[in-house]
Amino acid sequence: MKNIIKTISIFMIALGAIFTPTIAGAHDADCPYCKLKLVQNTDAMDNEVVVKFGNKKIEYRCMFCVFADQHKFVGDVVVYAPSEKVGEPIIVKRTSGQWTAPAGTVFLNAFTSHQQCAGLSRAFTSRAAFDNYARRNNVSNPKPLTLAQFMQAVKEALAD
Amino acid sequence: MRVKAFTLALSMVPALVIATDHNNVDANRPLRFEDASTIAFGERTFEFGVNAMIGRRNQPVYGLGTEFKYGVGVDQEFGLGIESESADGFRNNLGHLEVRYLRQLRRDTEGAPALAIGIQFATPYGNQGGDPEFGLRGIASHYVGNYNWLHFNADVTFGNNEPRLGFLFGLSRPLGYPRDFSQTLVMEAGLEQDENRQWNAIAGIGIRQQLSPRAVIDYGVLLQGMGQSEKQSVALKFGYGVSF
Amino acid sequence: MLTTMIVVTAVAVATTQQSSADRPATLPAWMRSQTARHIDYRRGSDNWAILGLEPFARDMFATGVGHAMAYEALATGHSASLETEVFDRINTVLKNPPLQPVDEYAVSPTFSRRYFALEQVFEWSHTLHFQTIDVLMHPGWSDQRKDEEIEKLWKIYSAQPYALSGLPMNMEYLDGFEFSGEFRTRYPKVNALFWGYHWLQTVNYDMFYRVPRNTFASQYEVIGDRYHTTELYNTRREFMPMTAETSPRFAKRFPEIANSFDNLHMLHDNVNDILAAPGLSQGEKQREIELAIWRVLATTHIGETAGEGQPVSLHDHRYSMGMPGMGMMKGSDEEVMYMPGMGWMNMSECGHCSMSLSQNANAGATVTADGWTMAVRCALCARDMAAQTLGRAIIRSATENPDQMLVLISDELGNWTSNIPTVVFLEYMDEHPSCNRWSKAFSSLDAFHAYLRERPEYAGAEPLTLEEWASRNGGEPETYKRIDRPSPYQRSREGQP
Repeated sequence: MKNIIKTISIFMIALGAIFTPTIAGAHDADCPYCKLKLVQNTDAMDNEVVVKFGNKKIEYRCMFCVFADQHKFVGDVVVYAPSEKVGEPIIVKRTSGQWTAPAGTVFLNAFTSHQQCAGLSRAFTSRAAFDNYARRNNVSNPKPLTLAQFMQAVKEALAD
Repeated sequence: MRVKAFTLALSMVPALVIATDHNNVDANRPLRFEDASTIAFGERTFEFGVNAMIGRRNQPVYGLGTEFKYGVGVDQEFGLGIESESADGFRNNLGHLEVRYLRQLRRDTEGAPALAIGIQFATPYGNQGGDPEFGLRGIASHYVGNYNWLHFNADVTFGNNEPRLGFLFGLSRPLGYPRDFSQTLVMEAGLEQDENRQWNAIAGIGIRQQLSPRAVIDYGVLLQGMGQSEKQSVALKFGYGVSF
Repeated sequence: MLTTMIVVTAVAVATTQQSSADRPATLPAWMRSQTARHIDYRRGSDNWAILGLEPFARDMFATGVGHAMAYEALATGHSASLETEVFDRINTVLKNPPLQPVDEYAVSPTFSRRYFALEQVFEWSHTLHFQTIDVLMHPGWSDQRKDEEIEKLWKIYSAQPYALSGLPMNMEYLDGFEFSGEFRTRYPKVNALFWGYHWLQTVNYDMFYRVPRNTFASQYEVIGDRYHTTELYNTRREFMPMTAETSPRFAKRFPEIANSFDNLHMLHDNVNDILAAPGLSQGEKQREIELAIWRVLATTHIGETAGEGQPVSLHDHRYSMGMPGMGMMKGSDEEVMYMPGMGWMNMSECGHCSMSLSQNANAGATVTADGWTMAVRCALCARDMAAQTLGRAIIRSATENPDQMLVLISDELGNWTSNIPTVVFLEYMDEHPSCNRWSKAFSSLDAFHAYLRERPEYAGAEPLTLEEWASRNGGEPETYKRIDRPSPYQRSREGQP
């Protein structure tokens, strides 16, 4: 029985490797941008932000770190942003230099220190999900941002 | 002839100290003075030099010299050299054999200069006769700031006649810092006694240029016999040293 | 685990203080000798083989100038301009490196004469650095001959009284003095240069060790670019680069040399800190520098043994499991250590799948990316680890032929080029504990099929071309063990957005 479970789990991992590019990197690396420890997915919430371009698949700590580091990405990029739904990341893309996100995507960017960035710089599939997350996590002054507003916020933070 | 032979030996025989490093100033590379530093223990070097001495009244004299040096001990070097001159086209003068030992006594510190002492024995060989000579050289070197090193060499040479004296002040400094690290400028001025114990002034300027980690070339101009118009000469010097 | 950490930390705090045994009754006589004692480097056909890779040679020559200029500024009272004019002057040299080796004594006459014993230690160790590189770059010698020659070099080096210890030393202890950290705090830009030099001086060994000569230039294109664009200016590095972190294969094969380089680089850090420390008179600086030298001299540790010693003390020669070429780091124990940029790890295990690394030098692979070099167990682990890291990468992987190492170099997109045009891969996904059997590189199709004939369990596996192999991704291995500990160092962006 144990062997069967193990075999199935290996099979699932192999399938995951092929069909689910949101699986994060294995080694316990730091975030390439903020250099803090990456936050792993939990049963209740996804946290791993994965950026894919070419054959590269890079894990970041939060959405802010991804956009702060975007000049290092080559060509077209796909970001698998953890959403409020476990196992259902939001696909944010950069195609020919233009960033796009699914309609209705709302971003949160409310951290003051990078130690908080994984929880306070995220994407949500809807305004309702955003509000729900902000309420449950006691986010002070939560401001829903569109992709353009989020990118502008990152730009301004980096300019400071 | 004897005196002339030894004077040439001093000016021609390459005396490589650290062939791999242009910053270390060697006797006759290209000027007469040297710094108070030996080659490294175990180091072997070979050097080749040519010069042309143009006197006011004489035909130009050309010289060739080679020397092998070996770091025989810590702060000690031994040298064996042969030099020839072409006053008569090299036909009758096969040159002089020279043996030299240099011992560094102390290194340069902020309070006191580096000191070294050199012992040299030169003897003619070949068809032309001559007397052997024995020389002692005391050397002091000190860093004086702004990348300048000052050197003082005191020579005494013994032969059949009365001992002759010589004093040299030298300056060395690297050129081109911080953009270039391959050249050292050397300058000297001094007084030396000739065979008649007359004092003559000498002055020179030259460059030591690193060619590779193992090889250095040097070139310079040396004015000799200043003060006695009949003995004035200009020596153009070029040398190549390599360690192996 | 937490209890172990607390105990280790408590021991560290208690023992980092110097005891009287940490100060000698008398210093070795040569340290205050007024003689020059120049000793020639070993002569041989390997001499200056480094010039066969000119960009690397020039960068190495420039590191000496950088060291010397900074030290001269500190010794002559120009520390106020260290981060500005002196930095710019050094940076100009680093961008236009010299064609020839430079006599550091000539560039830093005040410093070299004042701290002559230190200069001798530096010069002799730098000679070992360069001669080891020369041997590794020798165009005619076999790998076996190179190993033998490097062992000879170590003996020659060790015979002198100013040789540094080849024992692993506790870096937390050596970096735990009152003055420690002064330089990196006061002069972060110049400190980054120093650590950049030390990165270059250690990363190169795996670049050359048992690696085909015709890959040196292409490897250095990646390494040199990283050095010039990032490592020299990385003010966020938490600790100096360690040889085993940048050249693990070399450090494992020649642990004494790797340790001596780390001890040398720590001595540099100690000296920097002492020179930068406020309130120390020139005489006190002289004395502290002499003590710093004495602490890492081989003669100070005669009779001591690698793997033993009281934790976090001068005579702590323990090392993390699987890596005798690196002393204990801050917070580390025999099982795990913290590598800046990579987090906690066990050096005896694959950085990607946590399975034990082979003791066979001709097995597995290493990945060089983002400034580190990690040992991994198989080709898949190497590829996926590189794919999870920004920027270009180098994989050095064993093939079926012990004399033919595969060197793969990737661009920023993870597209690989190979030094073996006929390379093919086996990747027959199975349980990760056996990944070193089902994920392998072969120098030819024939070699691939020969392997499959010996391993019927992989019958039917198709050989993968480089392109096919590069586009794959194995995901997170089920065997990977995450070590959940906080960083022992102050983190880079904790207080800022």
